[in-house]
Amino acid sequence: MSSMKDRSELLADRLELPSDALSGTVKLSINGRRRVLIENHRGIISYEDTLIVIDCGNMKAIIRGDELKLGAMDKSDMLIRGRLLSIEFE
Amino acid sequence: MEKLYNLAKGTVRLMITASEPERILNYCSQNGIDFWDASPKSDYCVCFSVSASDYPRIIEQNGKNGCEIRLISSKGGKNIAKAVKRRYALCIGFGLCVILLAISSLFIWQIDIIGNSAVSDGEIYRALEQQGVHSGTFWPKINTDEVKNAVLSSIKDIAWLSVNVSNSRVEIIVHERIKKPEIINSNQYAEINAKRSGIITNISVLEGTAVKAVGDTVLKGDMLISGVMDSQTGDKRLVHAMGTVEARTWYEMSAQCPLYETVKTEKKSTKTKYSLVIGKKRLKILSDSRNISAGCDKINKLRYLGVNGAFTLPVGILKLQCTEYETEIKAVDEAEAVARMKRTLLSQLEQSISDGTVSEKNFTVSKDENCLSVTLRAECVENIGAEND
Repeated sequence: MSSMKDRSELLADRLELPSDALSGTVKLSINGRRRVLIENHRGIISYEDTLIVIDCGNMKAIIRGDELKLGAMDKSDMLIRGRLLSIEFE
Repeated sequence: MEKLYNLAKGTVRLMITASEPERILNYCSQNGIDFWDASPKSDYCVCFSVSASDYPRIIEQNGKNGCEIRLISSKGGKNIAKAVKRRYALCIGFGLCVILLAISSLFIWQIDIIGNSAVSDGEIYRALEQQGVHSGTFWPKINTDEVKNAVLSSIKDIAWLSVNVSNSRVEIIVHERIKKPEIINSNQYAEINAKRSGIITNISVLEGTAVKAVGDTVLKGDMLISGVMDSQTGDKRLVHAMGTVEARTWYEMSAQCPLYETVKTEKKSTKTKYSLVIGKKRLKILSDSRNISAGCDKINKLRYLGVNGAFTLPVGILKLQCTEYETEIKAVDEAEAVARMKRTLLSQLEQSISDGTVSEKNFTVSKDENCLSVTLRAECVENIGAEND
């Protein structure tokens, strides 16, 4: 059975709206390989200078890199700086 | 700017040591505590910066779940206040500077005039001064509309004027009047006379009756085209004569130049002196210009301090550059003088024959004891007809 979130994502797809407009899904904006802006996150699970794991609700985003730093963070947005190597979802 | 704001607000740098330091970061984000520059120091240790006002809320978490929060450094805010607490003179000086700056920004220290070419800056400055707009005027008292109207009525060549006052700077944008072309009343009687003596080569009559023919010699003032025409009823009809009369004309112009002239020989030494200017008052603290000898070229450059285009302070530096010279009598370079006089004579000739061409020209150079003379003799073809009411 699909969750409320999945249904809202489906509705956004049908209405041809941006998926984050209705469902509040996580949104990653990558600028080059030194900055990532994460919107609609749920918090940090793990924080090291080579690995940051972010709670995105129904999944986790794993950011690997060198000298990773949390530039700024508030309730919904997070800015990560450093040399990015990969971003995985789990 | 953000750094400056944070410094004014006050920031603290904290070190969190815990088995899961991410929890504190999540706590901050969930409770609206902004933090920045977070960097992990080890597996169990994270450093980050927060506003000094948020510090008490974070320190509440100290000791909870084995979390240790340590203050590493504190910058700005109350620290600045503590640092200057007993420095009364510094505080008073700073306060005075701010007050003086605020007061000086209420007075005009710079007037910029833009867009004028025929009307001189000086003329506009004088008109503004008559309306009480000059350096040192209290600008909130100025009524820009009144100033604009008064300047417009006093200088007829200005069609439109804008007076913009921003801080201690006044910007005057000028649009000059475009002169109306001369309107010819074609119903009014007029005849065409010769403005120069010459031999007519071509007559083209648009209105009126030609009095002279091609090949005739005319003197200055002779009638060329009459405004009286015969009509079919036998009566005379008065018209506005129009047409062109081309004629061969001759010019003779001469120019003289002395063989010896007094020239300035600059000495190698150039003295530069500076003076402090406050408002309109010049303070000779740094130099005394009275010591400068009479035989020198002086160049004054006054520059008020401030940000260009934004505001100007009433404090300026006057740079006085003095280059001493000696005078001596030298023989002129004759070839150069002759060439210069030839250019001048040709330019004068071209100005004289605005509606014509030079068909032949000849220069004669003569020299006596003190003077060098160049004479230009030229033959031209030009329109010699000039309207005469």
